[in-house]
Amino acid sequence: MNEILLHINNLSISSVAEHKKLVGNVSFSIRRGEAFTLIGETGCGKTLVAQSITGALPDELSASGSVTFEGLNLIELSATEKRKLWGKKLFLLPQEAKNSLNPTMRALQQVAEVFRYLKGQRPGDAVKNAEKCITDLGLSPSRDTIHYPSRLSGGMSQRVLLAIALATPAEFIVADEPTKGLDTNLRDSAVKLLKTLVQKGKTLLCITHDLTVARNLGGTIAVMYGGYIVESGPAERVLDFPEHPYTRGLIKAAPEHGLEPIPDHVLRAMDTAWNNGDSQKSEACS
Amino acid sequence: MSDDAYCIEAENITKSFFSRGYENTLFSSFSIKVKPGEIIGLYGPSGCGKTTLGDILLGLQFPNKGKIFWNGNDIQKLSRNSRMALRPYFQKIYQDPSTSFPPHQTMEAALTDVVKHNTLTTTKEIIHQKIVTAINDVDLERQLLKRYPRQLSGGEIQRFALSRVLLLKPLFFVADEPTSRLDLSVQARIVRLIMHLAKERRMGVLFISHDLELLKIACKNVLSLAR
Repeated sequence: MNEILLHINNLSISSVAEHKKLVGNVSFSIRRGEAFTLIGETGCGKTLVAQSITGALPDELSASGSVTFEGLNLIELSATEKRKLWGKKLFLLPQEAKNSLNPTMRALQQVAEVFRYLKGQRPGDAVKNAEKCITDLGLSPSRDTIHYPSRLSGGMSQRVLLAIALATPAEFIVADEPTKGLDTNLRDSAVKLLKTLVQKGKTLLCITHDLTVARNLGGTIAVMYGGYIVESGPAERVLDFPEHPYTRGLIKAAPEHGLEPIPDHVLRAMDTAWNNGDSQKSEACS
Repeated sequence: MSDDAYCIEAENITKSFFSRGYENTLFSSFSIKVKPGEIIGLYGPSGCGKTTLGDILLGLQFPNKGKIFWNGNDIQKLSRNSRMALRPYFQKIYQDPSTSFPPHQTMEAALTDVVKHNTLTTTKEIIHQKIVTAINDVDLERQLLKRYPRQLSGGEIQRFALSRVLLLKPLFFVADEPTSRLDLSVQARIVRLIMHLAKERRMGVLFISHDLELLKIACKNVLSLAR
């Protein structure tokens, strides 16, 4: 077993203004060279967990607990210290592809920047490597990424971001819905590329709604609902033999399993269980 | 309107972009017809022009060639005024729920604006009544009207977007990947709701998605747009 690269202990995130707990007592650890996938409810705080790792948590939210990465508690680091890690040690592949690219710089140049500034290559080499990286993702450097991001579709921008993530020297990559907006073929090739990274020894935390992505990435899956982790374990175990009613419901709601939403009474039972303080108790909702 | 009439029709439309001397054709000679109450799926690889096609059908972009008919009227031949009069009946639900409402407005204010701008109704009570009915139709609670978009979950905002479209009593709307940011359970709920409302209100829907399995369940026909 490899050493633990990231350890999250009792992470709680709350909104100061509204006195509302958004993420409650989340704990997990990720080993070096492992793929870890977070799945779960829309708006349940998956992105907040990712943001507390990369240090991009909005100012109006406060976090308690610890997020330990290579001996540093990421929550307590100052902005300058965090910035030193970005791109070199930690990389966030953000959720909104269209909003995350620089609108005033051609897409290809944005990928080339990684090679130039983080890997110290000469401009010509950087562009060549960027072109290769983009071609690997099924885009044409001359036809597609020569343009400014405004000319790219949602899926194309997503792939440009993915190219940046693949190029970065960071060993820990946080990917927030990396396959959103991609068709099945592109999704599978993107997952394959992410998996290659993991096989090369990088560590991946991936957030997704797509159970196929979660299954193909392998590694560990944690399921979140309402700010808590309700279940976690090896990918195949969680998806094939789900223990928690929410996980079971989520799997049944997939189009290939009948598109049946989780019934209201199941969700209400879970909410009541939390209000009574027993977040781990799943019997209450089955 | 008779049962055989189409609420929207596109005939042999072609769309190309020109840049640096290259012609980049997104699609050519594409035709589509949608009847009231029918959901047609649109499937295709990323970047093939699905969103652009939706925008063309709604008259938000123009094709290089081909004709679009709204309720039997060729929109390029309509006068500006008559096109504007039909405009509210052809609507769209966007991919990203969080950016489809102004952040500084409560949901009630956002929906009130829609009613005010599109009908002659002005009394507060009637507007409120209309809004409450519209959000009841999409299973939203009345208390949520006081909230701002950031205080709502993705599924709730997407249902608000659907209710905003319903307020205008559309004949046709484009649902552009309406569930790609939502979890599977919320996705199932929204898609079931769209299926139910399309049938009940006899609205035509163009459902754009990357998920063929999803389209097969939700749609009568699935068209594929290849690059």
